[in-house]
Amino acid sequence: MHERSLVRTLIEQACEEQCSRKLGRIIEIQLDIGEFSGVDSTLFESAFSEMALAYWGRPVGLRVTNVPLTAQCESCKNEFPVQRFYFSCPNCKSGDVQLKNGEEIRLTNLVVERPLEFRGEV
Amino acid sequence: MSTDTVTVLRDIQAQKRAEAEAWRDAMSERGIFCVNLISSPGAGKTSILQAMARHWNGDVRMAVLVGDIATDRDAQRLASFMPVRQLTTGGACHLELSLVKQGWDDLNVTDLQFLIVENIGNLVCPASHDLGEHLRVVVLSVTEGDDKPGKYPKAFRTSHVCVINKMDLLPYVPFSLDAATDDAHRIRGDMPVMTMSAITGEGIPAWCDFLTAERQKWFGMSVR
Repeated sequence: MHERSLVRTLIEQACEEQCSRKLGRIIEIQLDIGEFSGVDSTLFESAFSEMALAYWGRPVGLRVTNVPLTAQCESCKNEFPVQRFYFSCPNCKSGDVQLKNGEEIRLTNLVVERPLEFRGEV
Repeated sequence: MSTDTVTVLRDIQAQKRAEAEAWRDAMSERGIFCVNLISSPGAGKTSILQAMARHWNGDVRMAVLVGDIATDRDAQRLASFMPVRQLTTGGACHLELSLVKQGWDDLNVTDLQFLIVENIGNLVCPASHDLGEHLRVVVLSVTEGDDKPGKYPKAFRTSHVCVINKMDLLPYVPFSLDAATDDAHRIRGDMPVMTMSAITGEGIPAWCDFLTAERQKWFGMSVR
């Protein structure tokens, strides 16, 4: 159970992006979570709602996209979905495979309030 | 209220991975080969370290950082063999690099060949944390059952070598060495599987030779 530590990292990095890009208030954080990232999406979401409320003092949304585990065979270059965590190529049966997707925990988008436009002096 | 969706595409673990890489490089420069031992509780990690120390008998300079949720019992078991520091997490189920760095500072040793990190007994979370090791070792004991690799795929996929311990108990438990090996190889096809008994010492010399060879592969034959 290291979801809380990852949520803390996510909040810190979302705030870094907000500050460095001078963005408005964060309304929603969008995140990719890989099937093989070692993170349980449900636990992550419940830790996030609690910690986001404590940090910002208001609810902030979280939208998680689960990314399936895929790999590429080093021998025949076949790309395939990894089923039941058996890391061998269904085409040539080689066990020499590299993971392509499914390990990531990636902050993809921030949904932020658009700053009010300056309309000039009335 | 109108909103904007701003694209970020930031790997939130990239910073920690870079820190681990920097630590690995720093240790490599000093010729210190770091090994991260992971297993379920009671697989025999501490006993393996005792057996290694007995086998090397002072000829190889090693130190240990041993993680547990509570108590310093493992550090006490190892203290007569080698420099050791207990890392107590107070509840956290895995070690992180920051704790390893603290332990390293407390160890206050130089001129090592091996720094072994004995992780918290847990086959889940430790698999997700790079401690800057050169070699990750997953230890499985025959009393746990031969079906464990498939049940903990990340622990086995992210490890470089699998050790099967407590081979002295093999006649008494329903454990198939072939089934465990096949299961491990479905997850990582190139994974060496080494058998041993920390209690009888069977397989320990081959294990120590393997570690020495792995260190030489990283650092070259000229390194002491």
